[in-house]
Amino acid sequence: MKKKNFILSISLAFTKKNKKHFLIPFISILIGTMGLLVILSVIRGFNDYFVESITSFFPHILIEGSSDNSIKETEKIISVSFKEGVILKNGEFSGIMQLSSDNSGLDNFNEFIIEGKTPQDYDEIAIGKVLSDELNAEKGDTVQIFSIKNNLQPETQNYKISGIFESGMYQYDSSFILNKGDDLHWTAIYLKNPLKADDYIKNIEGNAVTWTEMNTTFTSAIAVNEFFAVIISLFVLVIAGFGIMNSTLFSVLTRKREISILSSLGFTYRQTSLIFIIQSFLISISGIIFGLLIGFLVLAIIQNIQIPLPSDVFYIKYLPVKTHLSDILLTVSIEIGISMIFSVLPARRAGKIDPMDVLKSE
Amino acid sequence: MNSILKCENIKFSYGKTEVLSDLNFSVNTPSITGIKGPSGSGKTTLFGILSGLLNPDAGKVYLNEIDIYKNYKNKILARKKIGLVFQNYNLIRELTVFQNIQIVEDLVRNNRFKIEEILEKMNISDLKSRYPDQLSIGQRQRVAIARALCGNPSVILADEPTGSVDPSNKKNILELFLHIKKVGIPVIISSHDQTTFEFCDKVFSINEKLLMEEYT
Ligand SMILES: Nc1ncnc2c1ncn2[C@@H]1O[C@H](COP(=O)(O)OP(=O)(O)O)[C@@H](O)[C@H]1O
Ligand SMILES: [Mg+2]
Repeated sequence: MKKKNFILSISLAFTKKNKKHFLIPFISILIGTMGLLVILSVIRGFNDYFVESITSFFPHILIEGSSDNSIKETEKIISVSFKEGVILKNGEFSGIMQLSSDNSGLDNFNEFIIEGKTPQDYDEIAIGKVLSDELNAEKGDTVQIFSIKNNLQPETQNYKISGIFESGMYQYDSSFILNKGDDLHWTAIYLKNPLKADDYIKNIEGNAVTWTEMNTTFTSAIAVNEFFAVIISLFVLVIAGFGIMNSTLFSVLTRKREISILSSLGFTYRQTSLIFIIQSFLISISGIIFGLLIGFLVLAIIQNIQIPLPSDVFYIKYLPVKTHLSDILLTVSIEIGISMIFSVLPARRAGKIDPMDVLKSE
Repeated sequence: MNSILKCENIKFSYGKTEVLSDLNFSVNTPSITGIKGPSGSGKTTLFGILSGLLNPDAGKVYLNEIDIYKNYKNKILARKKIGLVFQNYNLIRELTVFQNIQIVEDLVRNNRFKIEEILEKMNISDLKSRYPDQLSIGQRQRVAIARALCGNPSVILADEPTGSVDPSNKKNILELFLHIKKVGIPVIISSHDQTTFEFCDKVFSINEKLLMEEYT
């Protein structure tokens, strides 16, 4: 431990002396860290919002037929069936997906009801908020639903709107309707952790799908988000990396004399290189700390002033942010890793400096 | 008797310019040895070779019977066990006097000498928290000697240590080498100045790329 102390003290002394020179890599790491934190938090905010909105409404796993009990950590198990159709009211119409269940299954959707209640009878339905606005249909109104029966015969049925629901997902609120049905040949499972759905389904025999498969538009949007986050981060990091590389090289080249003194005293290549690696580490760490502080400040501001989003594109009103500890750790470790990688090469130059220089007159 | 520092058949050239040809030399006892030669005669080159900083073209250097150029490990060991004092001021500017000495102590992990004692002996205790730039040339040289001593070296090599010091300080510095000799550490000093040789037990001169014993 003591052995490393003196290397650290030399690094500190060198860094202190060259403070001004390290301003640029310091700032680039600061901005990189801050940017990464904010970008990741916004993307995470969107993703969590989508995942939360989808999974609170839509079942996490659907299994054809009756349930087997191989899945643990379930929150709720209900029986459902799906049927496509068209809803009509006063000449307005819209394509819909009919989700049918029994009374206890429909109770599951109580939390989304903003007006009225879930269907209690076979001739009642609940429709989404968006659909209700589009059709100008309110609680108590009668609508017609046109669908194709199993025997390929078209059928039109009248329903009374028992309630309006709002899930938070445009897709559901504009095209899902809930009604009471008997012929329920899907088992719908809600898990404690919906993100595990794809793991569980591997062990299920027979026909089964997860919410991620049923909502590929959103899950692939999340994947695209993450892809862009990675690209942006890499870009920022590479810039920070080159800043570090440049300043480490400068530092080594302007300290030839000190390096040759240290070599003449018996410092090994590794020890001299380590001085410069630690130096860039110190700069990175301070850049990271300030970057995180400013990043948190920016996030707090975003959360407080609630940056509005265009409502025709986004279903959420304000820019969502959510910071996960894992994202912070990711940011910090990536930044440290980059600064290490980019400082090793120039720091190794220190080992190549001729120790004989010390004996030569200036 | 085992030699402390010994070189055998050393040859060295900078490109086509031969500086040392077949040079032999050894130090066996705690004594002060002078290396005499005009500027450009190869004293610094010889010191570089003796201290593990410059590979000779041919020949061997032994420190406590260990071939110092055999591998990197031996070379590093030799650099730690040889205390170098240079002609110019060769302290690290960013470190205080105390830190300059401490890094050597930490590196070598010597427990024979305490920094405080050495500072006391070298008469620089009150300078320990100063930076090299705040010292006179003579004071810097004292610090450099203290640093060399602190690594508990087998031998101290001083390349024209009084070269840039004013005459009144010269004697003071040379007396420090007498002290080091008394502690039991041999000293080799290069110079082209007669005052220095008055402190030496033995003087060699570099003549025609060879080392000749002059007087004892
Ligand atoms: N790096 C070098 N490249 C070429 N020639 C050198 C180099 N260093 C020293 N020399 C030459 O080698 C000779 C010996 O130099 P040096 O060992 O410094 O002598 P001294 O220390 O006795 O003045 C001189 O002629 C000098 O010009
Ligand atoms: Mg010289």
